[in-house]
Amino acid sequence: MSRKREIALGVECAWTPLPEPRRSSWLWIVFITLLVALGAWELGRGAWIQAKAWLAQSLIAHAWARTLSGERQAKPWPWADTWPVARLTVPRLGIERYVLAGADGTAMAFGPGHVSGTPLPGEAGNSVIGGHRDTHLAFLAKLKPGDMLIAERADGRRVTYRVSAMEVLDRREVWVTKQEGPARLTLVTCYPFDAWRAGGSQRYVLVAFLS
Amino acid sequence: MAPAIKLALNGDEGGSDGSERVRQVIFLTDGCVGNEEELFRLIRERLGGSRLFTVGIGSAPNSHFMTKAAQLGRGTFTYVGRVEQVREKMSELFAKLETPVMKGLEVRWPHGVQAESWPARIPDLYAGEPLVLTAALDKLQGDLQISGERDGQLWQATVPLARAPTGEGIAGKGIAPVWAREKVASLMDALREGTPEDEIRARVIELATAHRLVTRYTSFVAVDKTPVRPPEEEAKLAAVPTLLPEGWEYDKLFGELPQGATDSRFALFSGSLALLIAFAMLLARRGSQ
Repeated sequence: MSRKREIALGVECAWTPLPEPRRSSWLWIVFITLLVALGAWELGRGAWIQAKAWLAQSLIAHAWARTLSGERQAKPWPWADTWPVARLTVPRLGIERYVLAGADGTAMAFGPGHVSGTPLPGEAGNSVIGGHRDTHLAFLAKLKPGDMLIAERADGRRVTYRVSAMEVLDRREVWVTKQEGPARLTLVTCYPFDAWRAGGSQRYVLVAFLS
Repeated sequence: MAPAIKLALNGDEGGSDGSERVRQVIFLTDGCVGNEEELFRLIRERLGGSRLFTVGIGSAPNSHFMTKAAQLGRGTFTYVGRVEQVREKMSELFAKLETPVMKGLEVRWPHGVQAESWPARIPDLYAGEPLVLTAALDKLQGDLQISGERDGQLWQATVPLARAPTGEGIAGKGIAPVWAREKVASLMDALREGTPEDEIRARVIELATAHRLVTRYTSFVAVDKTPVRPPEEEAKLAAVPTLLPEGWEYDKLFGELPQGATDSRFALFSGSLALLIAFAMLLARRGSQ
């Protein structure tokens, strides 16, 4: 080591400096590799959530066709634990969404979820549907009072709702799911729409009355 | 709870298999026991020779129910406030259950002394437990005889009443309400067993007012001497949020609206950022070489 340095100082001054010690370059490679791996993982995770959400809807479309032709609880894929219960369209925005049974995390990864225990669209009472603000229910931000929402039921009948009001509430305000009052559709998603992360406490609630 | 109690308590008097064993049932819950009266009746009817021990866990078990059920079941009530205490409290309870019991406790008051003593049915004693009796006496004289059965053998003790501390300054003020509370409790038991309410009510109110107790029929009233609201102003009605016992979760009890968001945006953003930084660092290094 000391001999080498002597040479470097004494004889070969004009040359480029000696490369840095090996250890730091090794660390650097590890760091870059980890960074790339993390980036790829996160990117893949984000893309997977989106891809799953939209690919599933096209599979569910087939299951819905089977439902309309008489099959009950038609599963979109063999191991699914949910099935489509309604088709929701917004003519003004060209939106089409297949609503799944159950508003839990598993169902809502693939489509808006119908809160079990509440009536289905087109029935008396308050039909509650939840969905993700960054996938299937992102369009709620664009809906205005007076907009038309059409729900197609498993029996093929179509019912029309008119958007009446929207409100930002706390997630604990479950009173919006109560059944009294006229027939309506209550759509629930997270708020604010452009938040980065999941798990906030605010909910965007939109009510549309049967017309 | 009722099906569990029905299953555990079969009304068996014990000793049917020829052994002198005591059947011990442990009842463990974290709280919300609602149908108290029905459960009390069930325990009374089906206890037989068994002993019922209750364990309440968490910040809000129904302590009244648990204490009363253990009393009816001739066992004890153990309260576990925090999860860290479970081991300690439960090993205490199991140690208690494994050590011999003193059964058939009887108390004989000295001849010529009028005594009204509570509880009327003296519970069995487990290791480490004191025998607590409260009694109203007309005079302090003679010896109190206590006898019981331990491991099949007779046990006896004598307490000279004359040596009991008396007077205002010592214990007189504290003990009387304890005695009255016990008496109220036994009156309430009598009510549960079918004594007409009018009779019980009159006696409880008389006792409670004399000893300043809160009971089913009496309560304290606080009168604020310094009103803060002018009398001509009308009071406003407002809803106040209900507080939950510590450790309880609102969502578990009342539910919440569906959660409508994924982490996809954050994941896409942080992933791109990490790749971008890595790319920039690679470029920078290449440039410097």
